[in-house]
Amino acid sequence: MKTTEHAAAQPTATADTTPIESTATGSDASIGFPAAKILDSLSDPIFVKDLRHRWIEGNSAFFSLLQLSRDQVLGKSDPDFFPPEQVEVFWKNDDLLFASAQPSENEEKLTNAAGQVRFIWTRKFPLFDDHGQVIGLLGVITDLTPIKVRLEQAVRLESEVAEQQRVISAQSALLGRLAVPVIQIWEGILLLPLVGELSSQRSEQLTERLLEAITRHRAQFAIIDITGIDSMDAGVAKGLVKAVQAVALLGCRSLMVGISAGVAVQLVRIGVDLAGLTTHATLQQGLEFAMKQLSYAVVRK
Amino acid sequence: MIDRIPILRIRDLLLVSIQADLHDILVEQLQSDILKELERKSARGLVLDISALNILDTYTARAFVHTAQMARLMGTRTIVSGMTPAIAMTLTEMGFSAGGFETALDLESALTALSTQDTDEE
Repeated sequence: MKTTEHAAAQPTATADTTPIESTATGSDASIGFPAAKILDSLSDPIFVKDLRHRWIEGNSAFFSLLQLSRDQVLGKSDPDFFPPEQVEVFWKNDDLLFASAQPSENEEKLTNAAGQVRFIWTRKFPLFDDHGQVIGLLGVITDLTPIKVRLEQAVRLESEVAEQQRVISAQSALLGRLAVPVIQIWEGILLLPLVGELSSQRSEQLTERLLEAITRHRAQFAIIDITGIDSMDAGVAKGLVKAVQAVALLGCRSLMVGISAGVAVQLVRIGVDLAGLTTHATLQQGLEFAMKQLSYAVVRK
Repeated sequence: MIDRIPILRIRDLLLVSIQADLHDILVEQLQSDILKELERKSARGLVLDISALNILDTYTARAFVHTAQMARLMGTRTIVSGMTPAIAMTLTEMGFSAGGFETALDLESALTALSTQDTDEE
């Protein structure tokens, strides 16, 4: 009994909203409107099956889902239209419901007469006779195909974006390494030539690489050449000062060479603490100073 | 847990090789031990070798600065040797400036620096 109530409840609910143009008011409309027509105006496919899996009723949305006419479908069963593996799934779910007399819902794949594959969400409800015996089932289908397609697109897009992100970060790591070379130009003397735009992130990276190189080469002098840098913001300047301090903690001395007029003005304006920073105008002078400190003599023969 | 760090005397140099992670009490103990040793017999140089340390907090770093200042007052030059890049970066990140004590790459360069008589301090 409860299913007949259930089946009746649904159309009434839709009848309240669908025929707005009908002149009668709410309750009158549901009386004068044939149930079949209400079901046909529903976009969700609905069907009724008997215990032998034969379709005995359906709404127009159901027939258009199958791409078959009403006459072709009624009285037929799943094997007449669907591939065997799908029939197996459908029948298994049908039989479970017939045995348990409990509503069920399943996500299924359906290949219709036109060969289109649809992803469907089927809810099945048992139909009872007057004695409470199950005599068939009512199926309500929601076509998930458009949602599924959109979801797949979203997932694909997401993985593409992730892939691109990975490439970008790999490239930026590579660029970072390329952009911060540390060269041993003489025994105990390292050169860090800086070129281009310095970011705070890059200055942190160069500190790391410089410190690592100092311990590896047992360097006593690190020459930071900023000839190739024509402007510097506060963050980068502080980063460089930090680099110099960290170098000093290791027991290595650092020289900064090639500070341009523009950068000198900026450094002073920013108010960076330059105490403890040894500077020389050119790389040559810096190198000369370092070599002298290490007791090397450069003599022209 | 180690409660004391040994102080080695090699001729007129004191050598302290710190191999266990330091805690506050140990640091204070070390400082007073060093000063007592200097009081007992003066030394020209003091080397704190921290190459075995993985962690060094700013408290300990400042304690080293104080120890270096105190030793200097007692006529001893202090060098901290063998700091790892990771510690150096952390200390500078925390705003610790390198001016407080002399540094050397490793024990060898520290000893070399101390053996050269001319004190080229910054």
